[in-house]
Amino acid sequence: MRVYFVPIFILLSLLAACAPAEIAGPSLATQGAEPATATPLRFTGGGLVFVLESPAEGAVVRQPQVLLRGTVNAEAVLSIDEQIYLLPAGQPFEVPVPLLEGPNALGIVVSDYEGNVIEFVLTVIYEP
Amino acid sequence: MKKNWLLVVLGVLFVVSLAATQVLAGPEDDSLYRRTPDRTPAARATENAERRATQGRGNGQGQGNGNPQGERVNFRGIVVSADAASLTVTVEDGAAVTVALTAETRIRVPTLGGEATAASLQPGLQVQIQAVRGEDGALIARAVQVIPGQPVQTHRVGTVTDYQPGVSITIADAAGKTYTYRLSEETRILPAERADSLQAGARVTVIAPRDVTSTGWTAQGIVIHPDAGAPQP
Repeated sequence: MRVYFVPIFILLSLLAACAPAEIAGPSLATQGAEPATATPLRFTGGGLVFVLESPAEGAVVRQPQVLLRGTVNAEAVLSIDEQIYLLPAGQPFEVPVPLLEGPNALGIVVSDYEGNVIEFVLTVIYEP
Repeated sequence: MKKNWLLVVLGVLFVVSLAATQVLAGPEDDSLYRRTPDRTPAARATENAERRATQGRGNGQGQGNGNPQGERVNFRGIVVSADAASLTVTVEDGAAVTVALTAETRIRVPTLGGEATAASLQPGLQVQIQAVRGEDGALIARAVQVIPGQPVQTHRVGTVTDYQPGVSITIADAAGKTYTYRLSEETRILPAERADSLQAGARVTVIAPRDVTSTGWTAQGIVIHPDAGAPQP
């Protein structure tokens, strides 16, 4: 009877060992793309909550474009300088932002349909 | 006997699994993503001066002794003074750092577009500097970006009280205050499928430059809300 427990135990051990490795290990799909912030930045304005996952303030990137990633708790309008995007509520979004060589001061404004507004300036440095 | 073998196999599998977990969960390659250095330029300058001082006399350019010539440095500071040849800022720890400005230095001020010059770097402005270290250890600015206190554009949510396609739109906010924006060919109306709903009574967000001129704002974009509201008679 004990013989049946052995392969089951081995299988469970392997699963337990592999699962965290898949989560914490490097992802080839994202390496070299856009950086993730160590700690997401959370902004609030009235009932509006905007979480910026990436890029980090002061991030240095190698590409002439950075992906702005995050979530917002309500349907919202996002403007980054002259670009305008409509964001869905509660779903992750990512929008491309072109960069000039050197430091870039990205003026970011997010507002929901109730009139709550969040605005900040994010600095990203493009070094080819 | 068979039982002992199974225990040995189990033990080996555990060790291998744990080792694999540690290896696979190692740090990601961050060579493409570098944060602004923790050390301030002032600290680096001091460190560099100390290093040069300890390199011995008559060593020329210090080549082969870890001279950081060509090293890129990114830092932020508050403008103290600027002229055509140099820019002095105070950094986070209060130290003053001077960088050389050259004809190749790109100076950007959000509100000035491509017209910014060293004269645009007024005392008190916050700037992000991208510099490179020269042969003598001095910093040469490659780019200077003025960091505005707030974005150059603004959002305003309200109800349309008057809409003249291609000409102007007037909205009233929650407090009843009205704002009129000019419209241009560049004004975007979003989303396209709700464009027909843009009329008096519709709820909208207007995106426009923050700067106020004598002739009013020109809208960059108008976003029509899902609950566009019933048109007024």
